[in-house]
Amino acid sequence: MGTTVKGVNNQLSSDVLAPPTERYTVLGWLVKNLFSSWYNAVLTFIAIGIVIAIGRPAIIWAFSQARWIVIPFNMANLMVGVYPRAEIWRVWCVVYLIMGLVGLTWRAQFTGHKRGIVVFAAIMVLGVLPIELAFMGMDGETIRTTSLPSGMAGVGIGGLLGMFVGQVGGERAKRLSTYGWLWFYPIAIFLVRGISSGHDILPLVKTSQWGGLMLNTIVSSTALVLGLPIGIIFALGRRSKLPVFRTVSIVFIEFVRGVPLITILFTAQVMIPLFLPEEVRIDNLIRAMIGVTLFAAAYIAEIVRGGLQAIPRGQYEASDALAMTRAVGLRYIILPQALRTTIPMMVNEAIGLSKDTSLLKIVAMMELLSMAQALTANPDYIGTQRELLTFVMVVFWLVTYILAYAGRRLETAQGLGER
Amino acid sequence: MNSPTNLYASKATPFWRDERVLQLVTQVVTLLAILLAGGWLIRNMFVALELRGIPPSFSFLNLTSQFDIGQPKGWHIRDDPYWNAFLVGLYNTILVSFIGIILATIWGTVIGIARLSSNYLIAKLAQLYVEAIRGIPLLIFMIFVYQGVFMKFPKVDDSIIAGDWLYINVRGIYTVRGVPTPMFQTYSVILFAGLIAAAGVAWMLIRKRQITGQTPMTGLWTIGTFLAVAFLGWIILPSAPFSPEYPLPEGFNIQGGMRWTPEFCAVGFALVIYTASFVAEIVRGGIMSVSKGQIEAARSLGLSAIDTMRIVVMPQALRVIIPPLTSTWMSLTKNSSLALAVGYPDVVAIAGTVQMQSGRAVEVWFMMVMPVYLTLSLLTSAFGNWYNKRMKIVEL
Amino acid sequence: MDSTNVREVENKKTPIIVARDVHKWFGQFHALRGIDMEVYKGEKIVIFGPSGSGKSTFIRTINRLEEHQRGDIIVDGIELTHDVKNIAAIRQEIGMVFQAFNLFPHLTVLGNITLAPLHVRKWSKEQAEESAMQLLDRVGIPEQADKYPGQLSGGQQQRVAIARALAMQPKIMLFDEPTSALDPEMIKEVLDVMAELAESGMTMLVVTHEMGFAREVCDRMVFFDEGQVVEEGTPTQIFEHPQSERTKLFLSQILH
Repeated sequence: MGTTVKGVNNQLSSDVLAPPTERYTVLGWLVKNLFSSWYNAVLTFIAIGIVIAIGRPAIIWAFSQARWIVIPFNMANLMVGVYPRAEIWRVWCVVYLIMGLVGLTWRAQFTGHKRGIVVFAAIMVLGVLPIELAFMGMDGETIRTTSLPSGMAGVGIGGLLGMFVGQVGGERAKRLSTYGWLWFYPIAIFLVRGISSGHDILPLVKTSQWGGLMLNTIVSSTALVLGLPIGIIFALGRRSKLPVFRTVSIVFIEFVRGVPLITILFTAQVMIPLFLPEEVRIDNLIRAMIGVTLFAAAYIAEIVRGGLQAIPRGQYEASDALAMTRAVGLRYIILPQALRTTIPMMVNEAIGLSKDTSLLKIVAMMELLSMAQALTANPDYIGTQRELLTFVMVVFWLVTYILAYAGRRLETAQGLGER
Repeated sequence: MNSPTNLYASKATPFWRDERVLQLVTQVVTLLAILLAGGWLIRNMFVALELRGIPPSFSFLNLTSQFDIGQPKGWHIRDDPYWNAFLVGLYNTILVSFIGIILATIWGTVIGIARLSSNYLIAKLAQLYVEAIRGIPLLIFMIFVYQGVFMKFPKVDDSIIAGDWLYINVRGIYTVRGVPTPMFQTYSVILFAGLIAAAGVAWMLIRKRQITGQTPMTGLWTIGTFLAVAFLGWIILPSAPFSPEYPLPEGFNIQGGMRWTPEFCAVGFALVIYTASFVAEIVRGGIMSVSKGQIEAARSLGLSAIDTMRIVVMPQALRVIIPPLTSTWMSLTKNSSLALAVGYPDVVAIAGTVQMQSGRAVEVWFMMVMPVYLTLSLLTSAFGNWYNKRMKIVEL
Repeated sequence: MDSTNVREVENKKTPIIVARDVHKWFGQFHALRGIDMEVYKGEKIVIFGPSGSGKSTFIRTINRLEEHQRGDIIVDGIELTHDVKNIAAIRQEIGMVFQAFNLFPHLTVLGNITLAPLHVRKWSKEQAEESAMQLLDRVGIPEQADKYPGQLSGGQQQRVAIARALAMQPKIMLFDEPTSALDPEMIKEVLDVMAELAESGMTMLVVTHEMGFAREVCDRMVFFDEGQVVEEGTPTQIFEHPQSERTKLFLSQILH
């Protein structure tokens, strides 16, 4: 029995009929999305009402009443605290290095770098432009001290250079971009800290003079860089069958996760000097960093533990069957897979950590928030809390956004879920 | 075939290669290392404390504190001992956390559902809310709310007034307070009866569900019964069980009424707005986790939209929502410790003052404050586990 | 066909695997109840039986993926005890192929195969890669060397798994239901590789339901049921003259 294929009117139609057209007009879209039913219409009006109620006073304040000038005038304070102004060039070097690495990583690891070139070129041009002239009318001396505009040119240049190296470097560049970030960290600390008091080029800058956004960055990167290996150790310990390792890990993780960060900071501040013999003096900043690092380690441990749990038992069995020791198996098989799957959670943790650094204000560290608050004590700037705090909020929000973006790019670059 | 003698004599495993011995030894060595290091640290601590003349003990708690606590007013004055200060601080932490959790959960659920709305504006606004709030550190937001909003309220003379019962000014938000009258005792009996009635209703409805298999709205009826009894009781009574105490301006101050200090308001407001954004994402994730097929099946069986939500979607969504939700509640409780930055006397703020005055850092932080939070952590996760188990048996 | 099952068996006097009165408990469950078995070098043994009979458990005790609680296991003269040196030495002599392949998804095919030789036998990179390419050639997929496991079909993945096990130059190969997770059209390619391996003289213990393979390739079949060896013999003996009722019952169930 053969089958017959029939079309419309017993003819095979080779014409493809066009779908009935919808009229995509603005009005049509509005009706569909905002006014499709009576309660939808009510909701729309409520929404518009909210936007106006909050937005109008905010916009009025932002554009007419706010005294934004306090921010560019004090940009140096906000960015680096009371770091000696003569040594700021070192901080700029670190920033250029970061930008170079960012450009390098962008090109070497990610795809689609065209936007990056545009961004960096724009920054460079912005920096060189005589924005100084605009501010010249209001105390050019102050602006030159902050050296913000010309410094920005270096940011753009650094980024473009990095991208260039990434372009031509090939495989070496790719490896450089991974290890570069690791090596960069001690170099950055070295540059910021200096060598010794009497040194000509790199005099010592005591940690009590570190401040501003730079301090937030240093603390959060330290916590992440050092917290990661500690966290991995505790994650492995928690999954161990041996009771001593498991108990110690559980106690540490649950204890640190169960208390607020601020209590850890206070405890670190007062108890670390007690724990050590009288002669040993530990910097305030180091105490705080120890606290934040341990805090980060506990949360990272839980993240890594989740990643380890997701690895099928067969992977362990295969590595055992191939006579690999536990150490080799962990290094080449288990951990690479576990860490890769936990990247989104790690990015979340990095974001949380960068926000938590604002708590350092409470233990008397002069980071960005405390600088912003300290400025309001200045008689020139009384009442500028809103402006300064808004600035601080915007800065943190930007950092969060950039980290989240980097996380998303990292995920797609690793091809998560595709292999 | 079993041969009685071994072909190969079992060579004794040298202990340094025996895996069981190795496992034991590594544990013992680690334990020893920890104990030794820990012991050395603790010994240093005791020596240092002796040097400063403050050997560890808790007797200092009985000393007079020499500082007042502003809120709740009168609960702790400078003649009261330190331990009283702690309890007041603990009360303040629990107060703001409890109210914060309830409000944040409600508000967060609203935002979460709003994000799924078909109304473009509403959905976008909710999305904007979540993305904006998540990028801001809570501490900064709290300070901003305190300094930029609550501290900028008008002076007492120019208070914002709503009728007789609401005053808003820079010293706080004042509302009507209910002062218990002699009738209150009778009323409490009525309320108690209402509780029993509600429990009875709940029991009957659960039985009905078990027998007939229908799912009546147990929660609604239970709460409704209680409220009905409370309402009727109020009307029946010859005089009201509460008499209102209105806030009245007097001089530079407001007398009477219930005062919500600007510190409390700032902490509470910031906590609620901040945590709600996390709750919103959790709720949204939970609702989205229920596959569309469930809704399609329920509707095709003839269930109404409300019943679909109530009987099919929400129970499944709740199972996904509850675990991260309880950990968010715990986060909120821990975040309340930031209150210290705006002057709200929570347990951490009090602890800081006590530690500065008495010098008893170790006792205060390690032995008192941290255990408080650890206990609260355990309680919250225990509650979460209990609720999770319960959701498998009884459904609202 | 007896003639094809008679292979050159070296050194018939000393078995390469000896299992004597091996017992294993999982909690209260007595999974292996006194297994005795001797495997000579170059023998191909097929272990078959109903699920839960202990077949996989048994071969996994041989390379210590499971720990036996009583009895002796001796592999190539090395006794399997708690001695970590013994365990490591035994594992190096045994290659294992799993039902679920267990390839390392984050490494290329070449990376999978060279990993163990590089880090356990400490070969040089060139040596490991050369050996790997030869093995890939042997299992028939040299062109897949730079692909990732996720990009290969099931049959190809299992062949890579075989190559990976062979890379350590083991004396014994264990197969734990190697084709059970494969789609039917890919079973043959894996069985062909296993047959070639058998032809080359490798000692093989195979847990499988593939009776065709058993008939063609193996020297001895062992029937497991409820943790015990019920019957063993040449394929002819098992298929045509099964002695035990349980063997008859099982065979009737799977040979339909």
